[in-house]
Amino acid sequence: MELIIDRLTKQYKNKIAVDRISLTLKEGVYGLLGENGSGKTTLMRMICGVLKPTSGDVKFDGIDVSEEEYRDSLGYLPQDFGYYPEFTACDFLLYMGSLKGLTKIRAKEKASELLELVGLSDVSKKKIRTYSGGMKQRLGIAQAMLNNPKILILDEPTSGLDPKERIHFRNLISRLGKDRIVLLSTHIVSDVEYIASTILMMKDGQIILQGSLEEIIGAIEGKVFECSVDKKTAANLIANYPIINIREESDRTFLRLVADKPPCETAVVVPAILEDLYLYYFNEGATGNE
Amino acid sequence: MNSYCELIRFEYRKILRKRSNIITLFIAIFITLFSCVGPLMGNQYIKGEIYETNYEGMKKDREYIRSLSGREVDKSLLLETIEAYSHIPHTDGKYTDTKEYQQYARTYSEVYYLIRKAYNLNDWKEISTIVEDNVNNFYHVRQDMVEKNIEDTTMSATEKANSVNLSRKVKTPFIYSYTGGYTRFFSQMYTTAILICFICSVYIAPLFAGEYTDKMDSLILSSKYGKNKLISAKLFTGVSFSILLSIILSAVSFVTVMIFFGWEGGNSPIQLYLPLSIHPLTMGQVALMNFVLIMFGNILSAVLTMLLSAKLKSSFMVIVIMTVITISPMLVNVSEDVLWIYHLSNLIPVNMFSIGNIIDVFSIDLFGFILMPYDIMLVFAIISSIVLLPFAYRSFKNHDCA
Repeated sequence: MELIIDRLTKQYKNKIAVDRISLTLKEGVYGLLGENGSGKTTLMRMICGVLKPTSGDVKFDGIDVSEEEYRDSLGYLPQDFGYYPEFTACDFLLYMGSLKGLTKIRAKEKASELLELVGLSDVSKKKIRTYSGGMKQRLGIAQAMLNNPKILILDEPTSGLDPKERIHFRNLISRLGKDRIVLLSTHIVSDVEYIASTILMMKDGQIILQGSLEEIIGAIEGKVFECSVDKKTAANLIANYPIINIREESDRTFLRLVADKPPCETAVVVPAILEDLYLYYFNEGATGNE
Repeated sequence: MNSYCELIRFEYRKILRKRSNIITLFIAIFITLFSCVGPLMGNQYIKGEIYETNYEGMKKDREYIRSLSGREVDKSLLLETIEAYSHIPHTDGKYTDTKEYQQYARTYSEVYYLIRKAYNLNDWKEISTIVEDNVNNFYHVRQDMVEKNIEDTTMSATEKANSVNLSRKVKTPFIYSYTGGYTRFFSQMYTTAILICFICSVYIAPLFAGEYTDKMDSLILSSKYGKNKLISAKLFTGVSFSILLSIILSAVSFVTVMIFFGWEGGNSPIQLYLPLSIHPLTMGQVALMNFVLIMFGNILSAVLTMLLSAKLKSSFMVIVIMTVITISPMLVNVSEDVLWIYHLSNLIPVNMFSIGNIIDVFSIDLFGFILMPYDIMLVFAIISSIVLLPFAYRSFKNHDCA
């Protein structure tokens, strides 16, 4: 099972949204991290065949993205998608089942099973327009899994879910990654940290980092410092180092920052986490990250 | 095949699950019923006073005409008509308001209509100028008038010859009959056809555009059948819906009109309704032809709607454009002087609904083949629908979810 993305490019007039990305994905969960506009959604849309690339190919076990057989292996949860408000959840899944080539009986069985899994069994006969955002998101995840896909593309699957639901889905996605390729993008760095076997970091349409959590964190291991300093020193450090966290204390300022060597005498090196790496790379967007 | 039928079933559910669509359908049926019997509502006034209700008037006329049914339109009937009309005094007001018209001439009003057209009378008073010899020659006079009409057009000599030949095949003498149900059906079907066209636009416009606005396009296009079977199912739904709606509303019109106005007259020549028509057809044949062209005109309109729906991102814009396409030809009168423009304008779906355009005086020489307007309309509707469908298919298939 191999999803090969070969020099995939998408250009809109003067802007290159995805810039010659080449990847080979095998079974496992891949977490795609990147700030808004980094090209994550564009990349996912091209992998799902709903957006034509300017150049490059996507193939799954030799089958081109444009072929029906490819789509038969695909489950996709788009970032921004709608429903037929007049349909019930059950109707919607049966419709998606017929679109995915399931027989009526199989679609019914699968719909019932997935509604149970995502906790919508009790409301399966209610019209979707009565659903909350979280319920709709759960229904979206259910439809993506209807055809037991070998490739599961999830664009922000946990947005709109409460913390309890998020943890539930995190565990579910983690299990799904055992025998299929799962590529998910998320706002929530901790989701990727917990479940992704491989992390892909995207910036300006390119994959800038790729590897397991340990491998990519290695890039800043020993470079993350915490210190509590006076206001003047704090201002000086903020001006000169990528700051990950600032916390105002009574007459001092607590800082977490990245530096090649201790930035001040009181600074202590601390273990790096994925969020440090993320904020380090996307420092300019640190206050308004995805 | 099962999944294809299932997808069609879901497309119909999407259309019929919308409460607004169901309400629109019931309103359309109500409007059809209402407009069928509309002429029967209200009253006839003579000198400001109610003389009879329109319903009573229709029943009276029907009985008068039925009393003459089965008779040949010949010298005897024509002379009776002339004699009956001679009783009407010359007044300043409407001659139909006179007691004499009601008493003597009303029975023959439909025969008078044949005479007026054949003898090109501008006023009822001129009927007395028709001499007996001329009455003997009614069918010659009528044929001369038909041929004069043909000659006055800008058709080529070949086309004119074909129209003349066709007109000579009209079977004479005409057997007089009551045809009120059919004549009402012909007038009604134009309204019904426009209603069908409009409803089809409203129902079919969201077929593709609705997926964009509902943000379902990416889910659909990434699914197994989203780029093939589903699009075919949608196109089938659009075409079949326009056929079904055409059948339903035409049937509602036909049955309602026939119940109220009378079922007979299907075998009578169309010339009892259009005295100078060149076509050797019966009322029933023309009614069927009218229905077929309305159905195919609406199929073409549905295909155009689907093409726009796949191309544009908004159902509303599709409905606006289709409304303009439907209504604007009604506001423009295309001259018959430049015939190719006139014939082209009759290929717009709404112009296929008019009985006057369908069985026109024209023959059309198309690359050596002499065709009638209804042939061209039907062939055009079928071919252009077949040609446009793949464009709609490709447009949705290649849609980028950007």
